[in-house]
Amino acid sequence: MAFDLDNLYRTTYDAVVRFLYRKVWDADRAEDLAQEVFMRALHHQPEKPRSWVFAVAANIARDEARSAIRRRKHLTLLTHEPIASPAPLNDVHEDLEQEEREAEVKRALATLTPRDREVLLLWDAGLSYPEIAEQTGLAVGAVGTTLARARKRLVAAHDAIEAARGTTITRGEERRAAASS
Amino acid sequence: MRPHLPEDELHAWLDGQLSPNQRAEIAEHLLACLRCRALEGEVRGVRNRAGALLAFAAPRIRVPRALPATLPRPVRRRLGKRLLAGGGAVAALLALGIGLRPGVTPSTGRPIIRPPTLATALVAQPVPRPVDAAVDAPVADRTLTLASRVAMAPNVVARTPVVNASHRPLRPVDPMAGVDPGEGWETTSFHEAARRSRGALARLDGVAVTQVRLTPSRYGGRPVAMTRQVLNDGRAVWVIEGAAEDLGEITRVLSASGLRLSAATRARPDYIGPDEAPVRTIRMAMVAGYLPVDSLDALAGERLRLD
Repeated sequence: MAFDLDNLYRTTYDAVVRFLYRKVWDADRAEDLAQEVFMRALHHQPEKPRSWVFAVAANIARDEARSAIRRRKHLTLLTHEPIASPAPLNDVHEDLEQEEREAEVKRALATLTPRDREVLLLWDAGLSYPEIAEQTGLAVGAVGTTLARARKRLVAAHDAIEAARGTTITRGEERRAAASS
Repeated sequence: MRPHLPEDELHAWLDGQLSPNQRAEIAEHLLACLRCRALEGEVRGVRNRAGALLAFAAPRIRVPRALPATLPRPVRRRLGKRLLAGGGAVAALLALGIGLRPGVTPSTGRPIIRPPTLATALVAQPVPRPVDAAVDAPVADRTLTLASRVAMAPNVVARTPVVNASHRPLRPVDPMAGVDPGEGWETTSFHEAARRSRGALARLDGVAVTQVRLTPSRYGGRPVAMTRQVLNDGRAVWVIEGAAEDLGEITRVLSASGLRLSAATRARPDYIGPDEAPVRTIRMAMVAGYLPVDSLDALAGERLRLD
């Protein structure tokens, strides 16, 4: 079958950006990397394009994570200060809430093993079990098991994070109440 | 009957990743096994929550920018040719010099478009393309998140007058047309079916009914009913209601034909047998269709009317 980059781009772009975003946690960077993935696809014209783009996206994200660590070390040496994020443009509360939720999910995802996380993100990106198996080297039958474990762990980790946050808020309120009385 | 279903198999079942035979086997088992049905509910909950959590961790900027302009020349020429050969509206617009801004709503400044065609991205700024492009459908089906469920809700649950049901424009190819659960089914009017079901015909509230088929239950009592209903976008769904034992065989046939089924809901029971010792039957209802299981569950949860 002829390689149809146009179709591949239209049908998988969103999923690739989402997949990359959950690896690099920077929307602009994720889009840059997605463009890079499709550029490579254009050159390689792979036989199984959908699996191929996600395999390349995973590799690019891994390289990006390594270089990000290097950059961060360098910046720490230069400034000793955290880099400021751009000021929010939309509703502040809405943005803060979204950021908070996202941070919780990010932390919950970080508690998963790399394999569980990879399988979960690939499924969420729209790959089928056989495609995930091909990319991760798992048996097709093991994808369901891994996915089941990953989902349970993600939910459990998120619950634990939420519970801890609830405790912190309650303690903060108690302290404030004690101070005011 | 096989022993209880393992959890990972239920995940695969809900993900639609099993063969028709496996699907039929699990559907049959679930109808008969309370414990596995409970486990299926738990698995469904975990699966939905994990999907919803991942939806929170999605980038908010959704306007893809142009690919870097460093493509080797031969490739650019090839893409240009493809673009022109396809007679793309984008190329025509660009050739005419119509300067469309990227898809940003002037009032809010929010992006309104989804990925542009690759050719567009290569040539110029993104140009809006129709949101309902059919090519997105397979991916959207499988990456169903909370957000996409909310987005599709207006299509699914909007109220449709039953009167005009026969005049509704359907898709040229209706996938449900060929579904036949077997011999012995009788097509009847909605009112006749409701009468024979003693006023307790399961159906989706506010969705047009186009056909009702009945077959006598092998266990007595009200007949088994399949009510065909058409959603606002022309897609058909069947509401199947009958004694739990009757439904096993029907769901096996439907699953084998590639249909997806919602979780079974308890319908109004029948009391059959002699007056002095009537037996209370278990009747179930479920929604079948070529839709993601989440959508079918949402329909069953929010719209299923059992009277």
